[in-house]
Amino acid sequence: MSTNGPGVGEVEISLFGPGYGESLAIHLGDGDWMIVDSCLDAATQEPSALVYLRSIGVNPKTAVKLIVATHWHDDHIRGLDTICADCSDATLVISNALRVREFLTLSTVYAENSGMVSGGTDTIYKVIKLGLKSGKVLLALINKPMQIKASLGSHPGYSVTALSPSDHCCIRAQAALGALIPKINKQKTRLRQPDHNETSVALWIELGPRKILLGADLENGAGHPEWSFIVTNTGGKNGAEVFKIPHHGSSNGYNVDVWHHMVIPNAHALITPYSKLVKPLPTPQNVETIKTHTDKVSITRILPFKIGRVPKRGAKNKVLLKVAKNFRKVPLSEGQIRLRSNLSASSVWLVEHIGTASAL
Amino acid sequence: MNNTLDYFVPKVEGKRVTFSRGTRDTFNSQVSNEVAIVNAATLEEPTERESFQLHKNLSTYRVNRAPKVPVFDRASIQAPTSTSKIISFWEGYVNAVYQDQGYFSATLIDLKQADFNSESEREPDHQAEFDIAEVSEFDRDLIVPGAVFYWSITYITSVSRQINTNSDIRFRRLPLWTKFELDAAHASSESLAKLFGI
Amino acid sequence: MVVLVGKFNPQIFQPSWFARHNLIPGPEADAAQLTVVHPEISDFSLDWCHLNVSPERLTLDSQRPERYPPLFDLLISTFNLLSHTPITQVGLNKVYEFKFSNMKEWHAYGHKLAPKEPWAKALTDPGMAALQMRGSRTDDKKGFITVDIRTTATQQMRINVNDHFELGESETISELLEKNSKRTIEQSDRIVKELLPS
Repeated sequence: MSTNGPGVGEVEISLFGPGYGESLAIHLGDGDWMIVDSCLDAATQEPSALVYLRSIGVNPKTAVKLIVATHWHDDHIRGLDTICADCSDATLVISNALRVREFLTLSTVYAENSGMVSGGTDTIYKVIKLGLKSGKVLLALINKPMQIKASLGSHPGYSVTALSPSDHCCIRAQAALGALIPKINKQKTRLRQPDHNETSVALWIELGPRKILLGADLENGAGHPEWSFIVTNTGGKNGAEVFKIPHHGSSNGYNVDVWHHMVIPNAHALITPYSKLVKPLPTPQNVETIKTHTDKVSITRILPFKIGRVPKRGAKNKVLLKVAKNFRKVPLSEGQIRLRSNLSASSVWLVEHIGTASAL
Repeated sequence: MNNTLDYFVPKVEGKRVTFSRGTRDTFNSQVSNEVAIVNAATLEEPTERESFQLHKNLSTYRVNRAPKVPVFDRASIQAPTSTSKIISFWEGYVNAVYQDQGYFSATLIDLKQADFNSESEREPDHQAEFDIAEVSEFDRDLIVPGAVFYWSITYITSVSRQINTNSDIRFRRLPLWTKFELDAAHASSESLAKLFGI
Repeated sequence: MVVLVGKFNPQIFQPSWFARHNLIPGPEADAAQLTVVHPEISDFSLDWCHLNVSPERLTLDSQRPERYPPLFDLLISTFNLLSHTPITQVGLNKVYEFKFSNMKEWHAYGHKLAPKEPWAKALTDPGMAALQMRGSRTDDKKGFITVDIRTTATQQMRINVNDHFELGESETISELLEKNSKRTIEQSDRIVKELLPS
């Protein structure tokens, strides 16, 4: 892997993904970077995006202009408070769905009660407080660019716009978050995360003629086809050359109209796996579905994970494997998919698979 | 005083003290390694001049065998004699419960590896599925998504010294949420809400 | 073992009370071995722990190391409910038993901890029987750490690490245990590991 950073006239998209969780570092040109979500680097336990930026000689403090927390689930948020503290020049963007009393109460309840494992609200609570203290917090509002840079000289400028969550998602989320707030005299448990990610912030990035669609973890809820809503209500955005596949390639995150209307044929598709489920994502069927639209599919780590199986020798392991079925280690090894291209319209993307990342 | 054969070197044999001719060096070596001499009345060590006459004034002194300094080898210590030894210890939280199929999935943190001095949340390391039947009956109503449990594998030594391996899953019975805690959090979140303009 | 010093009403501490508040399962309470429940003293055992309460002292102990975390949970939950119980001191104790494979090594270890030379003039054949050392806390809490090492039988010894806290006025026992119980266990293990170097 080249340890040189991208040139000022180059766009770069780097997607990091361990066994679960993901993070993106995107060079918008002219030395401006944005970071989307956070996961931890296996070796250093520091945020992967920061470790990477420093490795290519980028100073996150001054170079990172935008940090987007697409949602509050723990696999997307580990280390985000460190990123916010280190990237002091950046503006933090959070989902509009979190700007409700219910979420603030929920995160405060868990933040103020030590000993409880919060499932992500602790970190987002710290992140929000940091952002409010610095005065640089924005809400992701649909179709309203959160960051714009006008073209200047040879740089074509860029804009970053949220495509979700919709207003009706926010209203539903408010009720769902309210239901998660603990009740008096109920047993304390770890915070359970909602089943569906309807409040995730999907992003549309335009850098001159180049377009990128980041699907975050946005899923279609029951009876609520969020991706269809995006296709019809986001001003006819189309032509994305790179598509960060939503929700680890799941069928809930899939919408054929997105591929037909928003993404160019044979676009680069980027996936991070999710191994926490009994059937990890993406399933082989998910991959086949994506491959009907493009053959340029990359994943940060191929499933099934071969490491972390305990040998069946010894009294301890025999008992362990008898009691804990399908016992497996959460892989922490790092995979990075890096795409670079010149900002001009006709340039091809140079794709690199680093660490455990691979083409599918 | 010189180092020729002018010294009478003491040696403790049982309850007797015997003397043999030796040099100052052998006298000093014997006193530091084999014999402890102290004036019985003053408890002070004899001067060199007094040492020279020690064999004539034996009753003035207490002459003991010097304490041995044995070499300590940690490998000689046997394992603790308790009857229960933890060989594997995890904290887990329930991800999902599949009641019809009789199991739940969980994420596990290895407590034997965890750094308890770290302030930050410990990273989960493993995942697995557990049969609900592995949980004792009186803990089964605690199996809900988000519930936290301890899982240990221990060697249990019986009275007859037989060693058995035992797996134990125990769900945490944490304090119930109190009105005070929830009211306090509501009050704290007011200031955040104001900053957000809601 | 946890020792609390304060003001307690022993009659409250019955297995049925704990079960009624879901702090232990009902069947566990039913199977408890009651020694005594009396206004002045309450003493009973569950299959994994033993509780003794007098008006000024509460002791909760387990012989099963894998049950130490549930033991702390039990205390945290209990004193969350009994939040007005005045408690002034907390002692968290962990006991380790060791056996030496031979007399020579046993003596050598005693000599390592308490060298014989200072005792040579005062005693004949001195050897360590018991030793207690106290150290300061390294956190911001009032209290101290005490390590007691003593011979329990020929070639056997016991190390008791006591982590002693003086509770501050605004500090609750639940908060203290939540923040310190795991740290104390790890600290005790580390202290014992330091005392038995390789």
